[in-house]
Amino acid sequence: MADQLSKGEEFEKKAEKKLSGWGLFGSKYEDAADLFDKAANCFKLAKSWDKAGATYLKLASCHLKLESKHEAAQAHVDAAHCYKKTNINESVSCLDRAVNLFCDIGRLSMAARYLKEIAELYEGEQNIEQALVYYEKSADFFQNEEVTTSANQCKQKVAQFAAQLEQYQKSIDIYEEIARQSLNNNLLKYGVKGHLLNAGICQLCKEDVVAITNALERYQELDPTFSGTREYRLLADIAAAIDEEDVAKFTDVVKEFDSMTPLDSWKTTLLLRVKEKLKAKELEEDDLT
Amino acid sequence: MSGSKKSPLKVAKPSSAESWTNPFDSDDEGKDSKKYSSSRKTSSERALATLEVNTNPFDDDIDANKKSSSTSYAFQSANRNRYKNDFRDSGGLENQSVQELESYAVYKAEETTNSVNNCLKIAENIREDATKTLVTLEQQGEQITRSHHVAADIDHDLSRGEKLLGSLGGLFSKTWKPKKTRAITGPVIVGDDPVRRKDNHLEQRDKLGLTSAPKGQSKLRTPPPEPTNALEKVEVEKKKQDDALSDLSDLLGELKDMAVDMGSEIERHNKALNHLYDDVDELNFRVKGANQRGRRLLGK
Repeated sequence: MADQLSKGEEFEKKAEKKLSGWGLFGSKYEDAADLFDKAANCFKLAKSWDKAGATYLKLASCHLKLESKHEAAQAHVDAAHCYKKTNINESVSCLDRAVNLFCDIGRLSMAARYLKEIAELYEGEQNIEQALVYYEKSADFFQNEEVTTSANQCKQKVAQFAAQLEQYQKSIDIYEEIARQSLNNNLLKYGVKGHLLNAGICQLCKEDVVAITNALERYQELDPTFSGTREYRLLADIAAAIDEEDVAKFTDVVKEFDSMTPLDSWKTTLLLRVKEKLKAKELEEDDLT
Repeated sequence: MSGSKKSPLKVAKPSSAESWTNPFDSDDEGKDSKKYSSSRKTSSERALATLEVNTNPFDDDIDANKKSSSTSYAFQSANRNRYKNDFRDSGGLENQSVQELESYAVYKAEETTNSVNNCLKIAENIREDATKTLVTLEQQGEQITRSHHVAADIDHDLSRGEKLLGSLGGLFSKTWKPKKTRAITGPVIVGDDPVRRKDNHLEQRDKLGLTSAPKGQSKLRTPPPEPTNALEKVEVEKKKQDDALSDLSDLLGELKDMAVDMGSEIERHNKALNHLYDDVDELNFRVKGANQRGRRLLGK
């Protein structure tokens, strides 16, 4: 380990020396880049992640001097992967620079991929607002490159986070759009009722019974088989419970559905919000009487 | 979202379902039944055991003691562990009273309902996994097509490179023509590509009465009246079983369709990969030729 560290430092010194010296037709940058690459690899083997990241950034600047934007972008990505172990913010800024470089050279699919990676880093840090922003950018890039499935995955993440941040309409629009797209595809049509359920739960969070009823009718028109599903029954029964302001009925309906298909944490969170609002309404009614 | 996170709505399982013993049993009988219950613990027993503990976040305002009539009836039966081995310890079915047999019938009906529900749960899980698999297959298909497009782009770049290599080599040298065994076709849409149907025929099918929508309408089930005697309780359980079996039937039909779609999509992938392989093979052959030409030029 220490052996690799000293090796890395040696390569780095040589590279710095090359840069400060004279070189013919920019060959000094090529030589320095080669040495920085070796140094970074040694630091990685020594598990000295910060040093490895810093060295990759020096490598990137050498590539930029040589006008090799693709290699520079890749060096930024390597730096980001090293910083990921120690400093998330630095990792994000490296990936951001890589994305800009990939955009400059027209490699939009690569840019999309790394935008998604930034979003995942923010998600891991529980920074939902930033994760949402980057997933949205990523979805946009994937859509431009016609990588539909990856675009849809990112859009679903956007919808999920939007709902958590109480931007319900945004979430509803995304889920409905994905459901509409999926209907025309033999492989994706089986996921339609899941998307419509998610959209329906977001509708429930808005606490507008008329809107919920209209949405259910719209979903039925969209997919005639939806009205026969347990998902439809769940949404319809919850809508009825909200209309009647009956918390007990709401609980029974959710419990029955969960006994067959366990609800994930996202659905549970949103349904709990609905329940809290329903309880508050019930208490208001009691206070008035 | 729907990953491996445990649902907080799941009812927690108590540590042991066997802790309940019959106060009227003799010691050795108790031991005997313990032996049986540990080896032949049915799903219904487990389900009954779980009723005691409740961790449902939606449950705080519901009376914890309120249980469905069928389960409360089941708990009233003091001889439940005798049902487990079909009255083998107490003289077989022939020697039981009518009331005992009625209780036994209710117990068996509940057990069957639980089994059917468990089947339904398993089918739902399979369906969920199959849906994810189909999404992954769709993604894979897209990637194959994209890879093939890249191969076609490489072909264009290589053609330009070959032209440049041909024009090099001095004034009197023999002109070089790259060898090509076949043209690069690029991604081929196999067959009529049933996956990407332009029209959605669901509405027409609905009008013809071919979809499950009308059947689904009848599934908005009204709860049956409270049963009073054993026969009614068995009937209620039968109704539950019918509903669950109907759902299971629909689910299995859907799983069959999913399996067919998976099969045809994988077949499409195989054909697309064959085309891709041919094109990449041709590109490889031409790159080797271009390298050879480059080496020859450098050797001059």
